[in-house]
Amino acid sequence: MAARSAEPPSSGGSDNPPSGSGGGHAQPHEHVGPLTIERHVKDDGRALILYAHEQRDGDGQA
Amino acid sequence: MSELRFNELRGEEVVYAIHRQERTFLPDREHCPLCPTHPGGPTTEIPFPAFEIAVFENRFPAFQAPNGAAEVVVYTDRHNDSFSTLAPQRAEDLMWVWRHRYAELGAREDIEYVFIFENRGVEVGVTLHHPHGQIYGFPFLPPIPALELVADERLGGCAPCTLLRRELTDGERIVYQNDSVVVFVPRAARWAYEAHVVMREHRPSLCDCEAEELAGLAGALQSLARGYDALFDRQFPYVMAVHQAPTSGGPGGAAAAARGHLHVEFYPPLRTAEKLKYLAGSEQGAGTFISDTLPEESAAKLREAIARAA
Repeated sequence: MAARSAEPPSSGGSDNPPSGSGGGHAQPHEHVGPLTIERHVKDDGRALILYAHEQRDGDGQA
Repeated sequence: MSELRFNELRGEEVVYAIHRQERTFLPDREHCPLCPTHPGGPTTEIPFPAFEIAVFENRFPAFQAPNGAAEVVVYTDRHNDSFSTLAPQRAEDLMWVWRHRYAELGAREDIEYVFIFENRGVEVGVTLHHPHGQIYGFPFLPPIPALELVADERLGGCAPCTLLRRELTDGERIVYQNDSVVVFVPRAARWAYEAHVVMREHRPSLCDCEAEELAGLAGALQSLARGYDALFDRQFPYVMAVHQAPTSGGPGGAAAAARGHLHVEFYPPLRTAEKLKYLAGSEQGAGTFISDTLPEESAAKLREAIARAA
């Protein structure tokens, strides 16, 4: 199974387990393309991933 | 936990996710679970005061580990935006998020097909207005992607490549194109304003695309979405379905996983500004769509609307 290639993180590693709780940060060095990835675990155990563009050059989005 | 039952007469799986009956239904803006969490306000699904793009496991999943996955992709923290009104950079970023989720979910042993989609509008069953899409990690290869593999066999190669060549030769149904992507109303569209957004080059998945191709895809999707809104001068409901290669292949195994051609299909239910196309006797009972609109005529109107919205 899983024949598609996994996106290689440019640093850090997506194999690391998510950590943090609610608003806590985790794995701040994971990237995909121009985005940084922050993994969190919600209070009920569900995963939450936040993606942010690395260059905050005023694209008009929060 | 959902239950799968195989429908022998249809030759397909049916998913029973009875817990979804209780999911949040069209809350007012003050109680939107996809908005950011503001100080002093209720905690939403995203416990931060601002965010760009957020992905989380669905609270009411159709699939969940160890038998698949169901995720929600929130495009922005702005409640009143839509995919069509996102800044171009945000839309491009969304392509990278889709790519990341496809790669990560597709690497799981329990997922055979990663299906990224958006339902827009109450006409297609939206229960939350905040701009968002969903991802299902199917623990089996669903019928429509499976049929696309059958089409490959029937056409003697990649079916989307063949159909794209035909559309480019004909030209009459093309509504938009850029260096990476061609958008057309397919010759045998089921829906009046159905459109397919197809990569020019053979790319099985988002993971096979160059960065500029992802930018081209985002631009084409937004151009089409804005054209839809301009078509009848109203928010245009649609189902947007991202089709990519199976991640474990299902029938055909690894060979099938090497196939597939990234394209995005839009199924809008409107046939006029006020009239919906319903799936009735022939569509549901016989499986044959009856359309009262010719794709060539729809394409002309949609092409004009896209140009007008540009």
